[in-house]
Amino acid sequence: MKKSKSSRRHFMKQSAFALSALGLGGLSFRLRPATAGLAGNPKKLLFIFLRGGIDAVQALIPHGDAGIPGQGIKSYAEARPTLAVAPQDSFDLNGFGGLNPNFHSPTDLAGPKLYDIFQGTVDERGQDLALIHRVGYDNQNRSHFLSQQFWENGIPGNVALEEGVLNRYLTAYRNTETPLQGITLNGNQLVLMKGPTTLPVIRSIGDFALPANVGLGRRPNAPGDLLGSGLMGAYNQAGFPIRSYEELTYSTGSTLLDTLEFFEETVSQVPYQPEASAAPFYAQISNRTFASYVQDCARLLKQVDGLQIAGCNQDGYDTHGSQQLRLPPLLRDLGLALTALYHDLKPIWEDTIVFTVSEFGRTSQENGNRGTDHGESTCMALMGGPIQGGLFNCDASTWDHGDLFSTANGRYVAHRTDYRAIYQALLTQHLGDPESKIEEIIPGYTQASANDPNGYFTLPGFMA
Amino acid sequence: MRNKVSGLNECMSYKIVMKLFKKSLILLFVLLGLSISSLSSRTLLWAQRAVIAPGDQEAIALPDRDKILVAAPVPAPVPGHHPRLTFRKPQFVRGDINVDGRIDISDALKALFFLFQGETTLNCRAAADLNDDLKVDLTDPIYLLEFMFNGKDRPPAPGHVSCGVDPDDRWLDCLSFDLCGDDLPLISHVLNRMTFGPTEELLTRIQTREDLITYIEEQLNPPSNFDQAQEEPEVAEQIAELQIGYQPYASVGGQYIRLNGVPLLDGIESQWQLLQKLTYFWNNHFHTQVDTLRMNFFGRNRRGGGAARATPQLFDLIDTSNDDQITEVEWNTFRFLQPGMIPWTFFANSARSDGFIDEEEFLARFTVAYWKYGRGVDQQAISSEIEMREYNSFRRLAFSRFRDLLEVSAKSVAMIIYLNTYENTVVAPNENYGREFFELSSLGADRVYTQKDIEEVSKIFTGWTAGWFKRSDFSEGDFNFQNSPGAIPLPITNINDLRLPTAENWNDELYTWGFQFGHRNNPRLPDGGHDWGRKDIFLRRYGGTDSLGNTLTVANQLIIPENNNERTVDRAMTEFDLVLDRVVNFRDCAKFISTKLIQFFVVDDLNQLAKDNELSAEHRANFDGIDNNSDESISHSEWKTPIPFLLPNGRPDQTFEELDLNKDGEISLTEYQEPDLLVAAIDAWEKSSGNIQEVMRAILLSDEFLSLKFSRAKVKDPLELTTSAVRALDGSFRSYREFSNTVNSIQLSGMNLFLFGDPTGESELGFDWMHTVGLLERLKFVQRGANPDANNRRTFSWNSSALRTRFQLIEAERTVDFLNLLILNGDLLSAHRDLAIEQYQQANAGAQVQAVTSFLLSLPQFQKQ
Repeated sequence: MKKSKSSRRHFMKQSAFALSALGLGGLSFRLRPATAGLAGNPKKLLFIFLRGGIDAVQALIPHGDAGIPGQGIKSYAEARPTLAVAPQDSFDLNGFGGLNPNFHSPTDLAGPKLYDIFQGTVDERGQDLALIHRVGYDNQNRSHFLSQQFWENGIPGNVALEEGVLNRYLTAYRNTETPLQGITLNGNQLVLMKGPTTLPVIRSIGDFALPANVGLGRRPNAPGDLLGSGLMGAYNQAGFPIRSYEELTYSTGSTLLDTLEFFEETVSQVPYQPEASAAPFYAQISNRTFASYVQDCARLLKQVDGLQIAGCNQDGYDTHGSQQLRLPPLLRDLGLALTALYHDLKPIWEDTIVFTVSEFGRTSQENGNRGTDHGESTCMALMGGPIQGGLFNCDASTWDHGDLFSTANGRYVAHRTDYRAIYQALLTQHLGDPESKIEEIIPGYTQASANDPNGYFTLPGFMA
Repeated sequence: MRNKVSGLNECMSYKIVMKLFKKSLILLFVLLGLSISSLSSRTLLWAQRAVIAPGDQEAIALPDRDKILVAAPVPAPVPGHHPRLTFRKPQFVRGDINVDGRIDISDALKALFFLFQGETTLNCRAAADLNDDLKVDLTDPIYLLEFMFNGKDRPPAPGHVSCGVDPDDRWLDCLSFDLCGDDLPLISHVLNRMTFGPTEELLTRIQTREDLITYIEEQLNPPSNFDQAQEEPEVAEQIAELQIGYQPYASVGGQYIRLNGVPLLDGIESQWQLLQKLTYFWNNHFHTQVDTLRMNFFGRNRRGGGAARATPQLFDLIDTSNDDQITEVEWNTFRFLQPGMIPWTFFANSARSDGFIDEEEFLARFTVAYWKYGRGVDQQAISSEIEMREYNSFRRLAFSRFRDLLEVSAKSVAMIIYLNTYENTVVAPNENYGREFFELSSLGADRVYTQKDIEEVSKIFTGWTAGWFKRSDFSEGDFNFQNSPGAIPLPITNINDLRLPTAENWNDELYTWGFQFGHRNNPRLPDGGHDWGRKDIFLRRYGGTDSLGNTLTVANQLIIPENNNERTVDRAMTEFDLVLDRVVNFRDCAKFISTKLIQFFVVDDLNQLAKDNELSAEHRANFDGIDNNSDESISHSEWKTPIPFLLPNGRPDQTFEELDLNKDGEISLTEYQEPDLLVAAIDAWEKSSGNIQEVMRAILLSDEFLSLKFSRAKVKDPLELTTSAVRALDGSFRSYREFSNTVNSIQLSGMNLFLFGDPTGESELGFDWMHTVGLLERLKFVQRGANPDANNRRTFSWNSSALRTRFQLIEAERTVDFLNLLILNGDLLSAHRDLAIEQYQQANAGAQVQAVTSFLLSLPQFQKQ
């Protein structure tokens, strides 16, 4: 897939022209591509990567698993002598599984919270939150680095490929008329968003600018003017690349300068406030960086037409010790973030899916330090208009007694759903894959899903 | 006086010269009648040697570029006698006046024709200045002829057998000498990798390839057991000024910023650049996160930092008179023994106004004692001190055996806290460190070891913790406080949850945290909490395989029998020694560390390295052992052939994926083969028992590193970007604000150094550093240092006007060309040169040098090394 910088720039100019012609005061709330008929794909994704491996059975608690006493296989309560949350303290999801109470924003905030969203009692949108247990892949790796790599590049076992599934989607369906098709809010780029198309990553909308005494430079504006001038000239890719990383360096520079220009001319010019009902939830998130990332993701998805994918990390889930101190604040922040997004994304709700990923779950048995070690299958939350809410892979039909220790070595929860099946649903069913490029996006998907005796690729019914 | 004499001498010598000239003309014609071959004994074909010299242009594979993008020239010296306007010297061969690769009669003729016929110009007058008297005159061809025919001494260097530079600081101009390549690209490449950035001083000192080799050798041999305070006190002082640590700096804020600035100062200031780069490498390889130390250990109510709640029992303890009142005297008496108690004045006025505190008032105070690290800043200070200590240990051991480094890391208080070793006991095993000991510290992910090995090796580390010791219990050279087998950790009182050292061992200057084996006085943990049972590590049947798909051998097995008799520190340490010996002897340990070193110093992707050597017989045999049908290719099904009892499901898929580089589902012989440089590094490791100095020597003196093959093929990480910018401009931090702005900038570029969250340490690979967040911050950093818009955001200071004066940077082209040499070492593309000239022209008068400097530092080339 070749990038077409020139047409992109062409768009930028047109866009800038159109905006100035409109007069900024009269600008519509959303920054739409100026060219009629090229509004881009309206479907959107917002991801939150839970780094460190979320303790899935602590988040979505399988109270219904009584263990197998005769074989010494423990129940959740027995396996977690100090960490267990009692059924009456969690929120019942389906009579089998319970939602960790920390998700439900135990603050003095008025208004609906995550459990209300799960139940679909907040507003007319109904049940739009799906919680999926037991997601993983065959031969699960328990190294953070490797398993994150597989979750991000979409190819279990491929250690080296620093190329993300989401980037591959945007590369396969690159829309050169869109100034901003994907963005990460973080301190550095995530593998999920790395790849053939250099996508911008920013820390915050607020401080995304160069010092006042340095200009962006200019693109070529006359025949014979090969590079333009200033920084834009310096990072103009004409004639490159040559050595390793030349292409990445130049494309990072030009992406940065294009994005700076786009923000300077458009995004920052538009007054913005999150939905009033979302603001209190954002404000309660204790990790302010995470709060800012999530809020900026929502803002950009709402403001920028054609922006399809935005996302960020939530760090800190590697709870080997003192989990009772470390996990609750994380779950509380995540619950608040999801609740805030439920409110904030209302204008684009029918086109948007918010989802979480994490590299693995944790050991079912708590360790001697009131923590848990690296495990296998994990859980995901998916939320949005296109989602059919519910708790999946965690009921009597999908979870036998003793499944808490169902991997071959008897230490972890075995997976029932391959994460690539969920990616496939998000990317091809939701964002759309009209040209059937799934093999480009998730290499090996076709074969893996065709040869699936255990039904790992059979999708739980979370897509509306 | 001197001039007079010299004038006289010149006058006299002129007469002599004229005589000689006449003589030599006669001689010349005689000689011309002779056959050339008879002269060859003094005809020096120096150029043959020069052409094959590595580093020469011939050896450089220059990539194709569009015509507009060829490299711009380095600044031409201003014609004249003393071209002092650059710090680079021309390379030439004195005597090869016509630049034909030989020194012969034709050179004398060339000089004579130049002097007397006005026929040609000399592109390199320095080559014609045979006697190095800084002028070309008749004495020069005469010198040459006398050298050739009269047995006169050879001309002053450089020459006569290879290219070189004038060894002193004065030479005639040499605008071009085509037969001598320019060693600058190679010097720039090597300095970019083995230092934190080339400086004017280094580029002045290292003029040729030979100088470069000398420098590499020097850098490979720093003083052993490097003590910075002794070896470079001026750098040590700068770091001391950062006031990192608990005593006596407990009130100094910004400890983490200061700590993160240590590699920055070392990188900018140290003359032992390779040592500092390795230190930086090891500190990252054995990464520990400073704030985790605070949270896990030194924070409130943690093992190293408990606070004491006010309890009725404590009240009774202090109330020695048993009158249900604590008087100020009673309080201070208790506080004298327990210095962690809050001062009397901390109780509310209303509470102590009657001269005593009753139980209700006491309980209302809630927290009545703090461990010495009661405040956040205290906790940050002690955590930073522990990190700093570990970093200093890595600096001391940077070139030692890998085994020593691994041991220091494992027993380091920082690591013991960071990866939960202190919580790992026989009753509550924690495999966090055991896993990372294999995966991150020694063997690489899933190499050789299995989950079972992790569980077994974790037993070795049970009972290891951090204890509070007398500093004098440790020997003077034990800077990481980890070897005091006889010492007994001081008791930390535990009265009603009041965990405090008593008054006599309170002082951080006399006591400190050190490696402790065995938990003490804990009834739950008899025998120190160590698992004294049998440990079975690296058993074949666990199914571990190495990076080439080989199963383990019986010789790999490490069985440590149950110990029922002698449960001593020494015996527990012996268990660890056995593991260390076994681990560092695995070829995969050498391979893992060598791979990381090559990635750090040479190239990110080892697949770009040459595989010109033959596959070793041993690896060939391994390959053939898997290649069942002998078709010179290992298919996936061959790979997955079950090996009874060891690998019932065949070899791991992940290793197959890694070896199948072209993803065609087959592993070819070439794919199976390791790159030559990696093999050389592993060989050096094996021959030297894992001596890092030898591994580094193998890497840095390899032909592949000493070529331009990987020049600017790595992305600088944010630290390298900042150090290289400051070093190029000979800049410095004139204030704490500049320093902290720079440290913050590194962090905002995506590099957290001591605050990095994961035990993996920060990435060594370029694609992790080249992203828009990082690039934006880099551009801000260089602008705020080279050409700041506001003083409070200044990132460093440098003297642009001194540079302008010294090198006469008063015109656009000259300024750009000079700064190209200084900042990019001549690597400025000509198209970018035009843009830089434009920057000069658009800048305000007086700010041109700064504007061009900022622009050059912002270029794509400068982001790379």
